[in-house]
Amino acid sequence: MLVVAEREQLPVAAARAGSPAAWDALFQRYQLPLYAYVFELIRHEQTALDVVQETFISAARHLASLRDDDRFGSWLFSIAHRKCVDHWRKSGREEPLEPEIAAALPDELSDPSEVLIQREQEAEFMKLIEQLPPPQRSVLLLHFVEDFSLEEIAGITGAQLGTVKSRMHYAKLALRKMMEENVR
Amino acid sequence: MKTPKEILLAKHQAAQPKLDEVRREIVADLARSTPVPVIPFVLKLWRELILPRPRAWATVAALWVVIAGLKISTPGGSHVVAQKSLTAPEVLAEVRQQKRLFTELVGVVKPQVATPTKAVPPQPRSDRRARIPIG
Repeated sequence: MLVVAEREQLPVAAARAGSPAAWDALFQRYQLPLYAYVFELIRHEQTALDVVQETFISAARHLASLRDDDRFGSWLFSIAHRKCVDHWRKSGREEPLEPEIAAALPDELSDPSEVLIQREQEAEFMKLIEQLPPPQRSVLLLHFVEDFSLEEIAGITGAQLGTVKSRMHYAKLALRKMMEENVR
Repeated sequence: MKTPKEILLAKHQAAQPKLDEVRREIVADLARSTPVPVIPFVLKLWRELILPRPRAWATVAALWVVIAGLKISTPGGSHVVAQKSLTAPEVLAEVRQQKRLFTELVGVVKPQVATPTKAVPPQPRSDRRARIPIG
């Protein structure tokens, strides 16, 4: 059975027209998922808050460049992702999100809502997220937090689709391993 | 049992008040910087001058329509005036003729004929001096 996910109606057009109330609604909708994504990549509370703030300001300035209003969410996350990369560059660290060579992998991707984690596994799950290499962590977080498609994740991270599939595959293998070990 | 999304968002729920504060600041800045729409001059004129007195302006408009209609319905109106002005001397002559006839009929006022002034012959200079009053 083909299930088409219903797109939520966001007041993007009103925000483009300059409505502060529309911006408030959009920011309120995305502030926590965006912060969760940024924090899990950067691991610093104040920096994560700064990145979220800069992302919102940048979105308000450059909304005219967004062609498809339905892609507002992935567009917002792509701004945040670039800011995270900028942060790493400024801090002099090695680029953790550099593209990898795409491996030939099956592109099956289960629905994030289908993955259920038991209460006793929650801490393990978060530990796993922390332990994953940043490129895989980024892909898995985007998939879980906002249910983005592989194409959308490729657009957000600026990576090729094959690379995103590869990262997702390895991230899910690690997740499965964790869950199986817990069952034993 | 929870979804990964639920676990992730629950973990960061404590940051919600700070995020609310950030959001409020940005939205307040946006509200302040939102430019007041510039109303074109013609639209402003329409709103302030025409809209408050629709009946008066409708009457004026109707009058102009009537005037324009009259002007269109009388072909060459301005030419007639011009032609009349060209024949003005003829009209004047006609008026004079009529006046003359009227005076003849009534007979009260005789037409005044201008009498030529008597020509005074030049006098010698010595005579003219004698007329000068002395004392």
